[in-house]
Amino acid sequence: MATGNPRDEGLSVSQQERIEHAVSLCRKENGLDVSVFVGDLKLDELSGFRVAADTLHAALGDRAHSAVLVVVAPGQRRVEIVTGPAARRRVPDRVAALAVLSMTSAFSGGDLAGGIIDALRQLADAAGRRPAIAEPEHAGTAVAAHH
Amino acid sequence: MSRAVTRLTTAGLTGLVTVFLTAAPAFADNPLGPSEGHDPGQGLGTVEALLTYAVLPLAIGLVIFALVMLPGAKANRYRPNKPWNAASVWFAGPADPVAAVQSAELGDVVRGGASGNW
Repeated sequence: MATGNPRDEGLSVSQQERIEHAVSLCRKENGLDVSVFVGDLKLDELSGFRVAADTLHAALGDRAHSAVLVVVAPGQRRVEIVTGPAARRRVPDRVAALAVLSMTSAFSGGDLAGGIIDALRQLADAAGRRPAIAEPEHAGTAVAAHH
Repeated sequence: MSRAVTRLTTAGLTGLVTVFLTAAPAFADNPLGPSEGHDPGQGLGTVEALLTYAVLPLAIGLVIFALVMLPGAKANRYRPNKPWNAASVWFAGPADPVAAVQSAELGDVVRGGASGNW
């Protein structure tokens, strides 16, 4: 995690654990490949945010087709849900928009982890139940640099 | 005339009898000993008074304050108007995020989703 004063930087360990738990619940209970990215994107202009989020989604590789990626940029105050073509059938844009709405209202109140977890629950509820999918090997990987 | 006298007498007697009857217990001997307030006891000293009326309420207030504030002080609270300096975290992301992002190709895939800001 980040260096420096842990009190004003980043998600706490318990917050990360809660998000990890919510992510793995989506995989186990709903068979939905969900991934969450929390961090600002290195952009020249904020208008490129969607493309950058799409790139992160593409970086999921073979999983991307049926994966849902939630990108939360706390400093840029932007949130993006990117769904692959197969995932989009289970999580329609309308559902994604509702999840985004509940995230933005939670985030503006200062609740980062709670907003993400609630949104994941909404996505999972919409996706319905499917057989569990395997856990990815590196959950909660810290990314030092990207783009 | 006699009717008015009778009325006045009745009213007066009723009042007096009621007052004395209801006041009677106050004059009764208390079989349990002196009633409360009978013996005021020793007054509070300055130190005791301060402890009881100043230190004790303050201490109770502090304990409640600590119980309320301590869990919040420990948790990292996100402030929407402050810059975000923490390293990025990718939950259930690719094994090697940096390499994966560098080699990522958008392709002509139609992606869905939604976006928002706050």
